[in-house]
Order: sequence, then structure tokens, then C-alpha cells
Amino acid sequence: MRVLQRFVGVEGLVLVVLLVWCMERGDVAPIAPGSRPEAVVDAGAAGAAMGLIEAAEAPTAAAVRERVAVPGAALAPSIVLQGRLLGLEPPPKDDVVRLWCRRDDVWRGANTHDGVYAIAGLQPGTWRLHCEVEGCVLQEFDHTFGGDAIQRLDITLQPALVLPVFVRTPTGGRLQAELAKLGIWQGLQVIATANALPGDLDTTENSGVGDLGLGRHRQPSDLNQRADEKAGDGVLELDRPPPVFASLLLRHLLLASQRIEPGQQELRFVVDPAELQAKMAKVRLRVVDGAGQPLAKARIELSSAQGGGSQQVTGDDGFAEVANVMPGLTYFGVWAKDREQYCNHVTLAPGATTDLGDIALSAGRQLAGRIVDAEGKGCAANCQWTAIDLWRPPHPMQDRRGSSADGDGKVELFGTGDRRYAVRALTNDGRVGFAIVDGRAATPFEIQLRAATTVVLDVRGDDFAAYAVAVRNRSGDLLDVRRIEPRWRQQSMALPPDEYGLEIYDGTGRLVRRAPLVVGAQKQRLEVP
Amino acid sequence: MAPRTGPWLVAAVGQAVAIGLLLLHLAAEPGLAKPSAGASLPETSRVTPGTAGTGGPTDQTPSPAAAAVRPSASDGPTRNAPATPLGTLLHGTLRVRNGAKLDTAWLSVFLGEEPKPLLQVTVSQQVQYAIPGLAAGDYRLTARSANMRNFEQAFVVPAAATDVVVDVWFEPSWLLKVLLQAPDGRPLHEAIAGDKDLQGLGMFGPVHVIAWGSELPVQLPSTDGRETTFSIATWQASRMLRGGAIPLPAKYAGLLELREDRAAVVAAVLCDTVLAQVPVQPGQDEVTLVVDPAQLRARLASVRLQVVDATTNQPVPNAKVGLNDSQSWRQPTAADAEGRYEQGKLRPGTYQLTIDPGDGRIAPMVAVQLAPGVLTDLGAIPVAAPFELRVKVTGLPAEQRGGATLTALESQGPPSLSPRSTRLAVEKDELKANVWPGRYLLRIAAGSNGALVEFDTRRLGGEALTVALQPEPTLQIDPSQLDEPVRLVLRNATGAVVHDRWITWKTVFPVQLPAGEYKASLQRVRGDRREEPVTVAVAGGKYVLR
Repeated sequence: MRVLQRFVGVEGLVLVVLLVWCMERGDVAPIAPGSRPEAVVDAGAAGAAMGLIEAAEAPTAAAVRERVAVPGAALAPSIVLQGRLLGLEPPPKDDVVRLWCRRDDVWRGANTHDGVYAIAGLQPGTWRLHCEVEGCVLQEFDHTFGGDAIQRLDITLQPALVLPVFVRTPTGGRLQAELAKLGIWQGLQVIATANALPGDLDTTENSGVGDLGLGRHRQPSDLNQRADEKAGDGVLELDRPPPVFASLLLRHLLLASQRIEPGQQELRFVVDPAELQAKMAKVRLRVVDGAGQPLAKARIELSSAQGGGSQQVTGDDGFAEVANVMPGLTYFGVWAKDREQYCNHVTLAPGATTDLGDIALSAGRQLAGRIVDAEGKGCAANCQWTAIDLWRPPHPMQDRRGSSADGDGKVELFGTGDRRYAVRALTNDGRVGFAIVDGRAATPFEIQLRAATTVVLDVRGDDFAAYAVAVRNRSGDLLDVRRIEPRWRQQSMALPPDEYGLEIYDGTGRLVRRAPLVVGAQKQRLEVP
Repeated sequence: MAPRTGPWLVAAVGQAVAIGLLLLHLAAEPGLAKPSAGASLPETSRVTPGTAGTGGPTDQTPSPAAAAVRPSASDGPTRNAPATPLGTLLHGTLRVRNGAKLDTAWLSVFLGEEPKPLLQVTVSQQVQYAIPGLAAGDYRLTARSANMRNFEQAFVVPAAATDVVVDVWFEPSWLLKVLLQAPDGRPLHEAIAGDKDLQGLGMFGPVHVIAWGSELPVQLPSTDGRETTFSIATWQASRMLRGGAIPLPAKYAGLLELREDRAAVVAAVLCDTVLAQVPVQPGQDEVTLVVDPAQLRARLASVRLQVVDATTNQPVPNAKVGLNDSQSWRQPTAADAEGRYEQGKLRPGTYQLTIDPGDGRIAPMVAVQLAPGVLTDLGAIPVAAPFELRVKVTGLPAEQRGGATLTALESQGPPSLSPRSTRLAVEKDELKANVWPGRYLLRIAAGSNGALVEFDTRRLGGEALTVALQPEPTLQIDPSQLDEPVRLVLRNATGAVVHDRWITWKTVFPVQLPAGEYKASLQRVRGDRREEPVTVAVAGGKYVLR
């Protein structure tokens, strides 16, 4: 009996020595309270759940290892996600990997090196992971993080089907080169979808709708290449094997579509330039002063959010006609000496002449104000303003003209006239304030900054539908608008806590929902529509 | 009472199982057989504020051991298939000693003494960074952020470490608020608000603010940039700061960021001309510089020239004349029917002169210096048919674009003009340019390959010049021991200038050059010029400035 007791005692000593040894080794330290063994999850598994990757091709899906919290985790209670990009040999170059995690309005990008990536600054919970590598299938999936400081997630890349794209004219020329002759350098794009597009998409404020559907159309970024008669039109990367439908778009306009068949080696569209030119819009207008007298040499600009577009100057009679304007949602600006700067948007129908009638520019009015903090002390801020009586749904607000308040909070608005303006002031530390300013009164305005609450706008439903979300103050005046186009299904607004009116418009400008919006101190989420 | 056997037996078996499992676990760890050097570091040896190499260029003493490392778990026990090793993760936090919030930081990782970073990352709006996939070796991490002193830390990645922690601690720079005042006490921007002559000058007003370690001469060494680079501080005009993180009342013209806490002289300058200067002491919060608007106006420069044909000396009408610094471009102005051009209200300084008669003729590649308050008459500027320079470039590394600098080596016109450089692009192994006939120095670099060629267009005839790029060493120039900025000029064996710059900083920087013998000329703002030989070996080298 005594032998057994002594044996247990010796065992205990050995056990203590081994445990101390393990502790000193560090890597096998006791599991910290609240932490747990961390599974090495492979994106293959997640991808398979999305129907993107064969489950059999997830080599490390079940691999599990143990680790402990990183030293100093208490100093930085955030998570690092790292992993290997598998499936390509050699691994993808760092500059062709676009990998990030996003949750609401928080975005964390990856750094990559030799096929290994790391993302810092994550928090426990579910994040949306986006992994886009040129030539590979796009992977987007939710991933839930536990509490461990360093976590691993290998992502198995799968080669996409890459089809060279050629958009030609009936005579064999290059359509983009023909468009370049009209001054149109952007807007031609191919998207892939599971079903044929029934028609045009909702309008976009941008030069193109961006990457939508089942693939990505990669075109050379060098705009000079677009005038090259003999060059190709990039490649279409498909996230799933054919059959799929490919649609050639000019901004939101459907020009041509075809079914991509299994085994197809390239994608070739033939479009008659004359047919395309027939879709171009024409704009007619007369620019007058407040008394209705024509304004000569007024400068007119019609463009997308990316600029460029068409310019024209009015004649002595104030008239101007602008031809070959890209159809769709268009920024519209008019400048004349000593007059207000007219900024608006119009939606131009394809192939039609849009008569904007008389555009009356009032005399320019100098509007000045002061931006103050919660204690009434002037402070620096960035300001933007929109003539709210000109705004029509589903257009965006003006974001092209802005000014800065100086260190005492003094700000001057330029290009203003006899209109009512919504003025928004923003600071880099996340404070925001609004004011409705009447240019006819021309009295100094004041905007008080308050801590902003983020309102996340999350689109559900139709992947190709565009929306405009408008927020009005208690008096019904427009304060802010967010357009949500198909490319990005989530947007956010920064509003001080208060009661507002919310309006949601579809891509045609039809009101689909109106509701009160009470903004508190906590971030909130709104589903659209 | 005899003890019961059962519980002792259970304890003996249980402990035996536990011992067995622990032994198995330890035996499976590679670290058991060959513990790495880094693994022996205690976890608490992560970088702390007291050990970080912050505090500006002068006090950066990297400590190779000031990082926390962990032995690798990637090869450790796994319950199923082992995961592919990831290399070592470098990560840590980004913080400011005084608790201020960081906006954006730029981090670079260098392998050993390599001059070019292995990796560069931008960290925005977050306090943690992570850089993956490092192999075992000696590294340096550098970090910079607005209004912070540069951070540098050496660290070691031991073999088989899963992660290395290097926390970045930024030290706030000395930010000096600057009041620019007119003699009547008004802020200068208010005093010149109605003066059209002074309104369009400079991106943020006509007056720029610099700092120097000692009293400055009235006329600074000439620079061809938008503003003088002759400063040991960084100027941020208040218009740049609006809406930014630093609240600055409107009476201030801006902030001056000083990299070192030592006495300095702060000056208001109009390009290369000092308008006012005052001494400042470390920790000083604000400084006032008085600038008379009349003095500003009086120092504006003017220029006059006539465009003529190089052969006939006859005036060339309506040529477009451009005067720009090396960072700006503005619409050229047409000369009159007699080829005459006159422009006033210019900031004094160095301008690149371009002349385009519109018929293919070109003017010499020259720069002109406009003295303050003076009308500089350049006389007749000739234009002539250009020499069509064609350069065939071989040895371009795959997927590398070549960049070239062409420098005129001889005066190409009246003595009031000095030869200058121009940048050219190598497109598809070829470089083309229309140049004024004469001698040139052509520098082409693409990645770590490069070439330095002198030629005379008058001897080239119609042939293309062939330039073969060769691997080139890097000369690391170390100004850390300088007590004040110097102008460093490096000349090759033929006397051609291959590097010419005022060194106003103290961190090591690389210059890629062909191997060979060079002559270095070092000149302080006040004092003699000193010359010394510099040898650039095939393997590169280090040149410490003293």
C-alpha cells in the first residue's frame, strides 16, 4: 500500500515538472479562460456551401490545431485573421489579390505576401469576407470569428473561366475605338448572369454599373488603349461554368446579349455603331437670367459621377444643344459669369431629345456661415450643399462642390443663388450637422456639430435594383440622400440623434416606402426597400 | 485504520495517463528538439514605449531583441491533416505616446540591410496591423504617420516562429503654430486678400514657412520645385488642415512640424527668398513672423525674351512660351508677332522654359533663374529643328517599366540660361525624344538594372543609340551623423553630375549607381565645400556623411 502511495506521489511530481515545462514552452500554455481550440477552416468548405467549390477540393477543411492567445492580447483586443491562398501554383502576386472583411460600415483590408494573407483589426462575430483574385472565382461568404487573437482561414482559389472579349462593328472594327471618336472612353461593359437580362438595368450615376452577376469584366486601365482599333476588349472572368448569359451594356443600357455555351473560347459581340449612336441622347436648353433674359457664353456640362462627358457653351440667344450625350442618370451643371452655379441631375432617355426648357440662373449670392461644436465654439469642418428644391428622386445629392470652414468655423459657400440649400458639415472625427439655408435671405447661418450615429442601409431582394434613400428633417426639408446601386448593396448615413422622415425610392424614382426614422446614439440598420 | 487501495489506484492510473499525454505532446513539438533563439524570449519582451526606437532620426537606435516571438505551431500536433505553414506573422499595435488618435500610418518591412522594402502596407483608421508570411531572418520595421516622428525598429524572425509582435509607438512631432502677420497686426492672408498680384501665387498662398538649424542667408540655394525643399521641417498651411484632426484657429497661417526637439530658426520665404526669420526653442507653442505685403510685391520677378530662328536670327511670331517649376504646369502664353514675350508678377526662383512655335521647331532644354524684384531679360532664345533621339534599350527586367532622365551637359543658348533635365519614359524597349542638338547625360533605370550614358547628338547621325542596362549596386547614404544639412553632389569619372541634393534629413537612403569611382562634394549653407572620393563597389556600399 505504501508503495502505491509513494508511486502516486512521484507521478504527481513528474506531472508538475511536465506542466511547468509546457508552460515555459509557451505554445502549449494552458488554454486561457474563454478561449478554445481553434479550427483551421478552409474556404473550400465555405465555398462548397455556396456551391462555388467542390467539397472534395477542400484539403484542410478538417484540420484543427491548438494555440493560445498572443502575448499582449489584452492591449489590443482585436483579432488577426491569416491564412494561405491555396489552389494556385505559383501563388497569386500580391497586387492581384483583393481580400477584405466587412461588417456594416467597418472595412478591414488584407495584406498579402507570397500567397499568405493577414487581416488585422477584426472583432469577434460574423463578418463578410470578400476574396477576389484576378483569374479566379470570386468568393464571398460570412465567417464567424471566435475570441482567439490569431485565427487561421485558408482560402482555396479556383480558376475562373476566362474568356477574351471582343466588341466589334459589322465591318470588323472595334466598337470602343468608334466610341472614343465621340469622346466616350468609358461605359462599355459586359456582365454575366444566370438568366438573360429582360432589358435595361436601373440607371446608374456612374460611367458603368460595375461588376455584377456571375463574373467580372476586366479591361485595361490605360484609357489610351481604348482608342486602339486593333486591341481586344479585356476578358470576362466567370465564377461558374457555362451556360450563362453575357450582356453588353453601355452604362445601364442593354446593347446585346448572348448565351455562353460550354467549351466556348471567346466572347464576341457585334454592334453597329450607328445603332449605338442612335441611343445617344440630345439635350436642348436655354440659359436665362432671373429676368428671363438669355445668357450667352454660359458653360454647360453633362457627365457621369466620374466626370468627362459633354460640354457646350450657349450662343448669344442663350440656347444650347448638346448632342451625343451618354443616356441615363447625368450630372448637369451650368456656369455663367456673376451668376449662381447651377448643379442638378437629369435622367436622359436613350435616343431622345430632352428639352430642359429655360434654366434660370439667379445672381450669385455670397452665403456665409459658422460651424460650431456642442459648446458653440467655432471649429473646422468640411461642408457640402445642395439646392434642395431642384432635387428629384432617385437622383443623388450634390457631392461635387464643397468648402472648408476655417479654424474659427467660418465658411463661405460658392456658386450659390436665390435657392434653398441643404448644407451639411462633417468633421474627420465623426461629427455632423445640417442646416437649411435660404439664399434669398442671405443671412449668416450656423451649423452645430454633434456626434453622428451610423445608419446602415442594407438592400435585400432584387440583386439588380437601384434605390435612393432620402432623409428629411422634422420640417420635411431634404437633408441627405444615399443612392444604392447594384454593385454595393450596403451604404451608410451619418446622422445626429433626432427624429427624421425616411423615403425610399426605386430606380425609376417611384416612392416605395415612407416611414419615420428615429436615430438614437446606437448604430442602427435599415433594410431597403 | 488501513488506507483503502481503490482511490490510490485510480489516482495512479489517472496521473500515468496525464503524464503519457503530456510526453506525447512535447515529443511531437519540433521546438523540443531545437528551440529557436527567439523562442527563449519571454513573452513580455514585446516592444514597449521605453524601448521603441522612436524620437526622430537622431535617436533611432534599433534594438534587435525588442520583439516578442512565438515558436511555430504550424508544424505542431494536429488532430488531422497538418495545415501548410504560413511563415511568420508580424503584427502589433499602432499607438501614440500621448494617447492621440492615429489616422493613417505607412509601414515598411525591410529584410536585413536591403535598401528597398520587402513589403509596404497602409494602415488606416485602426490600431492593429498584421503582415504575413515572413521567413526567418533579420528585419527592420519602419512606420510613419502625419505629425508623428518616424519609427524604426529592428527585429528578428527566428526559425519556426508563428508570430512576432512589434508594437509601433509614435512620438508626436513638435508642432509649432505659425502666425504670419502684416506689420499692422492683421493676419497676412487678410492683409493681402484684395491684392490680385499676390492671390494666385502658390498653392496655399505666396508665403511658405521653413525651419533651419541656424540663421539663414537672405537668398537660399535655388530649387526648381514649387516650394523650396530647404527645410528641416514640414509646413502645413491652415487650408490643408481644415476639417482635419488638428484644430487650428483661423488666425494661424499653419503648422510647422519639426522633426527634432532642438533650437531652430523659423523663416517665412517667397520661394528661395527669406522674408523674415525668428529663432524658436524646443517646446515653443507658437511663433509670429511679420511680412510686409509691400515687401512681397516688391520681390516679384519679371522676365522678357524674344523667340528667334536659330539659323536666320529672325523673330518667330506667336510661339507659345511656358514658364513652370518642376512640379506645376500652367497654360503657355503666346509671344507677339515679333516673337516678344514678357511676363511679370512671378515668384522669384528657377523655372523651366519651354517654347513651342507650333511648327515642330524646339528651343534648348534650359532653366532660367528669376531674381527677386528684377526684370530678367533673357534676350534672344533660338528655336531650331530638333534632333530626333532614338534609344534602343536592352536589359529591361521582365515586367519592369524603365524611367529615364536626360540632362543637357552644355549651355544651349545665352549665358542667362542653364541646362536642365527632363524625364522620359521607356516604351517597349525604346525611348524617343526630340532634343536640341548637343551633349547629354542619359540615365535609365528599371528595377535594379540601370545605365548611365553620355553622348553627343552631333555624333550619332541617324543611328539609334543602344543602351544596355546592367545590374547596378546600391550606395546607401547615411546622413545620421550630420549636425546640419548639406548639399551632396556626386560626380562620375567624367565629371558628370549623377546626384545633386540638399540632405535635410537623417535617415539612410539608397542611391542606385553603376559601380565605379565618384567624387563627392559636400557643402553647408554657410561654409566651404569639401570634396572626397567615393567608391561604389559591385556589391554596393555605404557612404556615411560627416
